[in-house]
Amino acid sequence: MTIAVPPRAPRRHIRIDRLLCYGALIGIVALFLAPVVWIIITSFQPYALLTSVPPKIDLRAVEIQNYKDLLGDAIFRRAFVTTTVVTFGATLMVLLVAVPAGYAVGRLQFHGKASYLFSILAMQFGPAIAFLIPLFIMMRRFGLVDTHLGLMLVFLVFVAPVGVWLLRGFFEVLPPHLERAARIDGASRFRAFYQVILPLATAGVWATAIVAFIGIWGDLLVPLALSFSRAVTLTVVASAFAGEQNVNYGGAAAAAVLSAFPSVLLALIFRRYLVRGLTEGAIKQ
Amino acid sequence: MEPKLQVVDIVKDFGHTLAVDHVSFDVAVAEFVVLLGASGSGKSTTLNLIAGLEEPASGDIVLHGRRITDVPPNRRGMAMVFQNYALYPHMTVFENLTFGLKISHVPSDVQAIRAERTARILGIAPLMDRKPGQLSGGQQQRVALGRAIIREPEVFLLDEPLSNLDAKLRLQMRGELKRLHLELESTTIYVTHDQVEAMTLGDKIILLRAGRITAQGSPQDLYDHPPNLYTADFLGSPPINLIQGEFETHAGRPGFVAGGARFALPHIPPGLPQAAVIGVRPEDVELRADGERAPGESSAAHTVRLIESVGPDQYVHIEIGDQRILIARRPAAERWRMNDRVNVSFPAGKTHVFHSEHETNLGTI
Repeated sequence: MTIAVPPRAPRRHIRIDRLLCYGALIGIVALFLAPVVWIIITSFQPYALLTSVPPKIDLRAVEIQNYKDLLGDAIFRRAFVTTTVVTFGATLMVLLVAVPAGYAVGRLQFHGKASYLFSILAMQFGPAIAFLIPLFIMMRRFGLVDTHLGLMLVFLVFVAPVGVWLLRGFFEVLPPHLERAARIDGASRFRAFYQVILPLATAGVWATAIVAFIGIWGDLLVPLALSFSRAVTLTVVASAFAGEQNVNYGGAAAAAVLSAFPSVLLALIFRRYLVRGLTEGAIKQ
Repeated sequence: MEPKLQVVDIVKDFGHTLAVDHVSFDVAVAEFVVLLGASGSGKSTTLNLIAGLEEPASGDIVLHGRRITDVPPNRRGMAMVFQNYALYPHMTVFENLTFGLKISHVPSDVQAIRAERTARILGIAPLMDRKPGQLSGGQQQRVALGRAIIREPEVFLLDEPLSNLDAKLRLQMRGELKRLHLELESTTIYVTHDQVEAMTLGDKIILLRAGRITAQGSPQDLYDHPPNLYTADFLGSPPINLIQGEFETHAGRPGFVAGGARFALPHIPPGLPQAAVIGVRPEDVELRADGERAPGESSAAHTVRLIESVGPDQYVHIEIGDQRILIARRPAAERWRMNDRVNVSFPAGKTHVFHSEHETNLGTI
């Protein structure tokens, strides 16, 4: 038996293609990484160097004073705790809402499903700031302005719809009739969901959790509008380094590095789920 | 004897379409009932209604004389095998088999014993630790059957369980299903669109058409005495020859005239309408070479257009005017060739007469 071998493309072309491709990739990565590198370097520089005219960066003058100042600061420490509590709490709330809702729209047939899916997307159509004013008024009514719970609820409103859409794709692609088989096997509706369907969608649940976590952790707009003192988050603290008179570049950079750290760590650990979550769930099979 | 399961006048509509339209039938203990029909005939919906996966708009499901129409599927004590098997992908074969037992709190040592016995019956014992994704189609099919058998259910419901298998495996599994049914004396309702499966497996066939029962009875009875044209056409392969035409007595000889062709008949029973559809099974069509014509036989010779050999038999396609084809199933030993001129006759008692409008069987000639 003979096997048809497709004609091979000339080698030189491949090399040039590769070269161009990698060149472009390196260029794009550099573009994205440059500010990150700049922030990291800046966070280790003394204030005097950064505020000199023109500003200088001296790699021999590395120091950790900015971090010391930051960690010694009660407001920063408190913001760190607030951010952690709010992010974990809100992520959990998002999952509690989005997992069953994503299941429902992914696997059940009901009247008005299309309208429901469309309407929960409505939040994404306008700028977030437009929704913040009514949300602020609601929170004030409930006495939830400048509280952890208030922040969590507002994040829930913003992030849960994204979670529903993300999870829907994961539930949708599971083989049909699984719940029916479980029902016939004697399982209640709920049992069929949590023992048969949910274990098959864990990747989606993880992906949703990470997307929610990173989005909430790094959000500035919501806490800026809803928090003043008790429930101030890291992003608000970091932004406050830009005063009216001067900007504490070193402090801001250190705050940025510290506040970005958990998100980056999480993304690195769970990048397998994250990539799958953003591609697999989005594509209908 | 009281039937085990009764389906009483059930109706199911999906919005504007009536999927199941006043369907009633009984299933006796240890009976194998086949719901047969084309796609969209309502056979799967009927099965889902019996399982409790769909709710009827009206009508009742009765098990052992007890109305179970409102009982949820998990408390009906039935087992079902799905067309795509619907095995739990994240569980091993053992866990798939015992999932139902676990829910009904069967002790784990009993679970293991029953799983082992079920696996032995189905020949899947060596696969217990595998996941469904690591199994072949035939193996998955066995696990799906095992998941039903292990629970010793009141009624087995099978929804086109063989349609995802290749031809050879399908034949083999069909035999095994029959063997299992006899061995376990299980009460079974089996959905299929394949008339051969229905004929070979069923004690009783219920033929559905557009949500209604169009015929029910034993396979042989329905084949020999189809109550209507649809049933006659649905059962049998190659299908029954249906010829639309008129009865006519010419020069004292009774016959049936269709599109220029004339077929001799032994007699024309009184009371038949002049226009009708006659149906003759391919195996009942008799052929003689032109020139050997017996008196009273079809007046004109017809031409053989195609011969399909299927081993012991051959399907002889004969043109009978207006480019219509009649198929005769003849033993391979008969030497027919393309373009032979042949005379066609139908033996007495084998020609079905159907009303040309409401398609009911008016009797045989």
